[in-house]
Amino acid sequence: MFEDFSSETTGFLSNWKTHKKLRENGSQTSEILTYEVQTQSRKPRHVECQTESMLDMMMSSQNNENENVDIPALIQFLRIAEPIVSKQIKINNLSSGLYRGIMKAKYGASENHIICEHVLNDKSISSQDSGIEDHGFEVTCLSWTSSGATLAVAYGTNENLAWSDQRSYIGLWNLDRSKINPNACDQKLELESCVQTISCHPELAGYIAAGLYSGLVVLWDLAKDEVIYSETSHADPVTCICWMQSSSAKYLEVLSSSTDGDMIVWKWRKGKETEPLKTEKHMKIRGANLPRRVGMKGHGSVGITSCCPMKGDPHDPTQTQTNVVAMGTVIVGCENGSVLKCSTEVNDSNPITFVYESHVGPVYSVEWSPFHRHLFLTCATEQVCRIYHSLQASPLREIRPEEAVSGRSSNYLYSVFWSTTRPAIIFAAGGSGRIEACDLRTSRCVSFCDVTSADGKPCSVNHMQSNSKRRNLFASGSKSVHVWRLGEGLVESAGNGQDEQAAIDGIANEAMTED
Amino acid sequence: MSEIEETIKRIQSHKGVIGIIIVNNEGIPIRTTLDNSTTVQYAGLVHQLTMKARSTVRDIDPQNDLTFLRLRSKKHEIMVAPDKDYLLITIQNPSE
Repeated sequence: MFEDFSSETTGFLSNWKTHKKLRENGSQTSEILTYEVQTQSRKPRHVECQTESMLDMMMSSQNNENENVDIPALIQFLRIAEPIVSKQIKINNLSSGLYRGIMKAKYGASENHIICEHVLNDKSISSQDSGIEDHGFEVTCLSWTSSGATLAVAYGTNENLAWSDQRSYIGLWNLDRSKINPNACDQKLELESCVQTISCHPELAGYIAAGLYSGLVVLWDLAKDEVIYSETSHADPVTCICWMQSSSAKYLEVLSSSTDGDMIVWKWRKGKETEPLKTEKHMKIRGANLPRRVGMKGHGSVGITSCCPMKGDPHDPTQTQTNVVAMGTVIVGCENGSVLKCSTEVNDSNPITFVYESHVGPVYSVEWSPFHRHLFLTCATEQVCRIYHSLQASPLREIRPEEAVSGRSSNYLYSVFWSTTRPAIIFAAGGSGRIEACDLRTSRCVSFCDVTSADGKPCSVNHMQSNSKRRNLFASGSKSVHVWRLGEGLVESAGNGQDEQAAIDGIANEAMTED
Repeated sequence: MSEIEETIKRIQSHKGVIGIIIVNNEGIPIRTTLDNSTTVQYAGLVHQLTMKARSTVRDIDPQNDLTFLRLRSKKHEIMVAPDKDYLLITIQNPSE
């Protein structure tokens, strides 16, 4: 029924498809025309002008003195002036002994006194709420600038227990201004966290470094009013900040320490405001690196509460020999009372080079003696100041400021410093609000002054700073800043400083003989 | 001429005298026994101070005039004998 069928193919013409026609065509833009033209300014002409300097005028008037000076008038003048001057010179010479006596009597009256010169308290800052009940801002740290005229004040609070995002301030007061306003600082910088520590550059006046509660380190360039932040931060609040001697003059180096046990050396190239502070070296104080007698167990880190790098003094001939070796040596005081010698030069992660006998409480202040390169001073909450020799573990002297002995908990010692002019005098202050000057030779208090608030109550002193340029001044920080003037007796020692230097050397030599 | 030098020498011979400068009324030193930079410094500063002191005296009483200025410091005493045309500045260390 069905069978294969094959049909034939058929073709038909498309009625929509047409054959395409192509044609060649061309176009040409006009050529770009260039012309050369030259121009030349007219010949430059140099003109110089120079005013006569005082020296030149003097020379010229001396050279052709007959032209400018009316000789007869001058002679006439000298005839009148000579007897007056001669008489006065004779009177001065006769009375010189008497005059000296008067000077001595005048200074003797205020011999050992410490007089409060200024009370500085920025009302706009201190009246602000610090975020903690019943506590306004207090002064956490102070620093004098290199000129000794300006005081940088860090405002914050020591009452923070946990994280805080409270804003705070750095204030600057210039004591050389003819009118100091004690209620408002001359310059103010607002920062986003409490300022825990502050340090002005010891040579360059325009740089202030500060450590914040948030762990950040900031550098304030006063000349340009720029704030440079560190690229990273500490895990815990910064407790201490010090300027280091930089290897190159182009860079600034800052050492910061924190309660997380870290010490970081920051480096910053001068003038690069866009660059952050870069980490140059990162060191950690680990419990495992401390000897067992310190009483630290485990591998946790040890919080640093204070540190002080050894300063090489180029002017002191006794120090030049060992300067190179001592560079990078830092004395570190820890939360657990340990006192350690560390070196920033080591490449190892463990910076500890020597361990001293521990304090019982946190070590809040450490300072090298300006008069002996091996002695340093520490103070801790156990109300004791200690003098150590850098090569011996046990302390050479223990000094208890008298007020601290009464044993109230608020009498912790927070700050100590050496007198900048008298080798054997130290100053200590703490919770009791009494600043005491102690003589190392007798271990006795030679003078004291009390820090009080406006209503007469004693204030806890958080920090004190001596002024290396104006040696009769120092500043203390509590709720407000006090600037103190030392009596002549505390600035200049009786025997030209020789016996005191000898006494200090004697104390230092005990270290050599004991072992 | 030589009388000026003689006078200066006489004053210089007193005990403790460090230096003598004669300054004209414009503050330009015309005779000195000190080195150039010290002279320029003293002359400029002392001249200004003397002018100020003189105007102070005259402002208080127009009939009065400054006759002598002594500046006592820890280290020195600077004496200034003023005149309408010249200043004689003498620097002395009295305890020497």
